[in-house]
Amino acid sequence: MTGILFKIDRIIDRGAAGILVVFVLAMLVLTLIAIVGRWIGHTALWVEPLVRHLVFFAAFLGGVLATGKGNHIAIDLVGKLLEKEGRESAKKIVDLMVNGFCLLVVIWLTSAGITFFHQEQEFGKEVFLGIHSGTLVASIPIGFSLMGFRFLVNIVGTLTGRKEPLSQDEIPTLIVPPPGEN
Amino acid sequence: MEALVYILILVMAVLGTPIFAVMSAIALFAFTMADIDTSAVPIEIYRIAAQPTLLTIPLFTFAGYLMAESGSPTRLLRLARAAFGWLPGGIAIVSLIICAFFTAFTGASGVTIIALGGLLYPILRQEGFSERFSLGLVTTSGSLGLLFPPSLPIILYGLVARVDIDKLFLAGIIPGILLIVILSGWAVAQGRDKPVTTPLQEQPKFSLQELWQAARGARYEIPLPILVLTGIYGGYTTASEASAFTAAWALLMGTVLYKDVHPIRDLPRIIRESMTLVGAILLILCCALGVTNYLVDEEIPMQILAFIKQHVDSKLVFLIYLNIFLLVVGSLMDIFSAIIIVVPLIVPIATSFGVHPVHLAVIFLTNLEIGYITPPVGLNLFISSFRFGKPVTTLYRASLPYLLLLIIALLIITYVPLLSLFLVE
Repeated sequence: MTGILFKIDRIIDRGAAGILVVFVLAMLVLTLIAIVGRWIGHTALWVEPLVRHLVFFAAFLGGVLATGKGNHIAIDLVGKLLEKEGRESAKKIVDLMVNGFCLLVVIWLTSAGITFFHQEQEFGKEVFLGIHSGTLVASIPIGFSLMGFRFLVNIVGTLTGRKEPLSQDEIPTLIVPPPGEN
Repeated sequence: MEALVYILILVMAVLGTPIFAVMSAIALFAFTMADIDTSAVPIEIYRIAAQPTLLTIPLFTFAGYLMAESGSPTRLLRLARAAFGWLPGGIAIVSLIICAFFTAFTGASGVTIIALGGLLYPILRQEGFSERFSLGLVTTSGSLGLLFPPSLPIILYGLVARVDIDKLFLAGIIPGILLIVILSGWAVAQGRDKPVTTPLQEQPKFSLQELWQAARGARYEIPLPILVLTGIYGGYTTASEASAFTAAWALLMGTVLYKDVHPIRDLPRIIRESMTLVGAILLILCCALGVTNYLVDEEIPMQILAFIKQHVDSKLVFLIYLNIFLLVVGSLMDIFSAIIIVVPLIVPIATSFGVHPVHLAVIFLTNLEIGYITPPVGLNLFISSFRFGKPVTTLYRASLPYLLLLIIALLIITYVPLLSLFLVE
C-alpha cells in the first residue's frame, strides 16, 4: 500500500516538474511574441491574461514540488534547535505534527476551493480565448489536493522511515542546505 | 476558545509549519468565526492572477538561477578583478560588487553564497585576508544586492504595499551603492593591513589589456543590467516585459552563446529549482491576501496605530522603533514572509507618521537585508556555516563588524530620506 503511495508521489513530482518546464518556456515565448506584436502594431489581448494564469498555475505546481522536498518557507527555530541538540525522536514528532497540521489546512482549503469553483461555474465569466473563470479556478482545489497528498506521503514516510520528511533545515529555500554541525 | 486556536496556530508556526499553511489557517478560521463563507479565502487567492507584474517573479528568478548555474560568475569575477583588483583590498571590493550583482537577480535566496562563496572565499584567503574577514565578507555579500533592480524582494514589496515597482527599482540604487561603499571602505582598510608573504598576496597592477580581455569574455553579461534599466526607464518595456527579455537573454547566453548550460540536461533542473522557490513565495502571497484583507476589515492596523500614538509622538522616535522592530523581524523570519506579513501592518502606521511609502520600502528592505546576518538565526549565517564547514558561532563573530557597519548605513538611509527619494522625485 505504501509502495503505491510513493509511486503516485513520484509520478506527481515528475508530472509537476515537466508541466513547469512547458509553462515557463510558454510564459517566455508568449511574452516575447506579444512585445514584438505590439511593436508592429498587432496586439493580442489574450496573451497577458493567459501568461498571468500560467504564473498562477506555476505557483501551485511549485508549491507541489516544495511540499515533496520540504522546501516551503517557514520559521524553523525549533527544528534548528532540535537538530543541533541531536534529538531525533523529538524532531520526528515535530515533523509529524507539522505535516499533520498542513494536511488538515490543505483539506480545508481544497473544500473551500471546491465551493468557490461551483460559485464561479454559476456566476463566473469568460476570461480569455473562450475559457471560463469556472474552469480556471479549478486549479485551486486541484493544486491544494495534490499538496495534501504529498503531505500525507510525508507523514507515511516519517512513520515508516521510508522517505525523508519535511526537513526543518531545508525549509527556507530550495537551495539552502541544512546548517552544518561543526 | 478563539484565542486558544490562534495560540495553537502560532505554536505550529514556531514549530516550523510552512508560512502559507499558517496564513491559510488564520484566514480560514477568522472567516469562519466572522460567519463568512470560507470560499472567501480562495477568492482572495485567485485575486493574485489579476496582478499585472506577477510575471516578473518567475522570469527574473529563472534568469538569476540560470546565470548562477552557468559560467557567468567566473567571467564576471575576472572582469571585476581586472577593473578593481589593483586597489588596496581590491579583491574584497570585487567580491562585494559581484555578489551584489547576483543577489539583485537571484533575490537573496541563498544562491549567491552557494554559487559564488566557493569561488570567492579561497581567492580572498589566497590574497592574504584573514579567515574571519573573508568569511564575514562572503556571508554579508549574500544579501548585499537586495536593493538593486530587479531584486525579487523589491517586486514583492511593490505588490504587497501597492507601490509602483519602477519607482522602487530607482529608489534602491543610491542606498544600495552606499552599503557597498561603506563595506568597501572597510575592505580597503583591511587590505592595507593584510600581510604580504607570498607573491600571490602582492598588490596586482592594473592592466588595460587584461581589462579588455575580461570585458570581451563577459561581453554578453555586460549589457544585461543596462538592458533592464534602459528598457524600463526609457519607457520601451514594462517591468514584466523586461523580465522576459532578461530571461530570454540569459537563456540565449547559457545555451547558445557560451554553451555552458545544456538545454536537455541542465535546463529542466534549473526551471524546477527556480520554480520551487517561486511556488513557495507565491503561495504565501496568495494565502496571506485573505489574512491581510481580514486585518484591514477589522481595522487592526488602525488599532495598532492608536496604541503607538499614545507612546510615540515624533517621526524620529517612530523610525528608531521601526528599525529595532524590523531588525528583530529580519533576524527571525525570511524576507519573503516578512514582506507579506509585516508590510500591510506597518504601511498605514508609517504613512500616518509622514514616512514616504518609497522611503519606507527602502528602510524595510535594508533592515531585512541586515537581518540575514543578524544572530541567532540570520539565514546567511547558516548557509555559510554549511558552505564553508565552520561552526555558526564562528560566523557570528566574523559577521559582527559588517553588522555594525550596515547598521550605520541603515541609520543614514533612515534619517536621510533624500538618498532613497532623489532618483524617484
